[in-house]
Amino acid sequence: MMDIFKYNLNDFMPLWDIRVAIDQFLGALGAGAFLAAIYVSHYHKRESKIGAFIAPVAAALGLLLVMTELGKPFRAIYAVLGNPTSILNWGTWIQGIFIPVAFLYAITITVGGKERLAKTLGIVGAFVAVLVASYHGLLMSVIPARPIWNSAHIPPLSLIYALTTGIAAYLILLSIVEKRDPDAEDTKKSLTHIWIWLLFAQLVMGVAFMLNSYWAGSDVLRQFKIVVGSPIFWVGVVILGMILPILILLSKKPVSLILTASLVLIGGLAFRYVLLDAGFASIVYNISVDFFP
Amino acid sequence: MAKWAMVIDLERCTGCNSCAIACKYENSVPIGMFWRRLVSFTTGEYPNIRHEVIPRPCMMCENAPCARVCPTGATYYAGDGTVQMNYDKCIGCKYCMIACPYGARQYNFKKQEEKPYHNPDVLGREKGVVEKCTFCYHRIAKGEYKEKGHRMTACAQICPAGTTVFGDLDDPKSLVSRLIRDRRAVQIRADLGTKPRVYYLK
Repeated sequence: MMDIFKYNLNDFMPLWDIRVAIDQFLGALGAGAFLAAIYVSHYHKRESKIGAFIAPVAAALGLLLVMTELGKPFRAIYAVLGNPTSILNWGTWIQGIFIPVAFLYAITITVGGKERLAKTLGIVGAFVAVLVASYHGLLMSVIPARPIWNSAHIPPLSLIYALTTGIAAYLILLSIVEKRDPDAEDTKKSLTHIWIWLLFAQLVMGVAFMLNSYWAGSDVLRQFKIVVGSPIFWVGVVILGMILPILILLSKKPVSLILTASLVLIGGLAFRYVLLDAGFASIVYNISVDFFP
Repeated sequence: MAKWAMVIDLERCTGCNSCAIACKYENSVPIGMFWRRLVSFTTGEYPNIRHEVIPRPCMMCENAPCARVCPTGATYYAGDGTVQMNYDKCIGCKYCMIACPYGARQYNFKKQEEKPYHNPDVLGREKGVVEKCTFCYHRIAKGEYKEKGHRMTACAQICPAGTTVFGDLDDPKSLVSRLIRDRRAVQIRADLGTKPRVYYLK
């Protein structure tokens, strides 16, 4: 066993705190809600407006939150025309396109009339929404210094969490805003059908990621142990975020949809936080491993 | 153009920390940060315990993860084998610190306090920017501070045991070039493909 004297401030501060986890959560939620809104717009135009409005608001909130996390937020414009090999640079472009497009789309379908414009914006927005949803995972998966992040599982996991949390937020808003509308019931029903399968896919992909991390070698295993040792993981991600919602949806008991969707949202945020936090314990190990393997 | 590199002989290192302190003094590094730090471990099970010390400057990677991920281009290759920071372009996103496998990068969480002495050759750093070892860029560029005719970083100059050797890889006769041909020479985490220019003799 290795004991470490902790005397460097920077090595033991969380470099990215919970604000980044919330940004990833909100950005992905917005992208997922946008994709769900595009799906709903084929059947019920009126109900799709709600989802279309979640997207830019959530993504912009997340972006604002992450700006407060920057050391020099007023210089953030440098990141747009900076270094093209950086995923963060791509992210500024992707999100910079997604937020206005989603906002314009929401405005267009609310005002009505311009069908062709709405359709074009919808296609562009859906394309960028997939990129936004995967980007937060890609940002982490290209870092070899943080072994548990450096996995091809992370971008698809990020995408599937975007879809489930996006639909969850959509369902909550639908239940609150459109109470009396018969179309809302229909929308909720069809969204819930997809949602169950997405939650299943999320469970399968999550288990695949955990198994992969467990067998991926000693340096990943060290960070994997941090994940499975954390109560947030077991309570937030596994029980509240995955098992309970799936059980509730399968049992078809009259449990409120708002509660189920809130559980999924909690699970989504907990997943981002646990994964982010697990990456921050590799530096001393990295330095020592060549000398004391 | 020279290719600056460093060799650290761990058999000679006594763990006296004078390089870390000399670095702090030379570069006006604030409290709670080290540009060159001694990472120490206790290994083994009682009674077979060893205490190990590894000095860790910036590795000045040829293929630096920090320069690859910096969104603004504030981290750049200076062309003389070093990776340098442009403090005016840094937005403080800390992505480079996350990408660096060695923890060489330090973030100014707080405003740097006024020090009784600030080296006038070294640029000041504001709150919210990332900083790191520069291989004493100011000394090397000036060409002063020579010892036995060689340009020296502060850590290499102060080391009482001759642990740290600084020199030019392009010159095949330099001490650094001769030492890295030693079979004891290793690079930390060379498996990550960073190609560090700091070699250790273990």
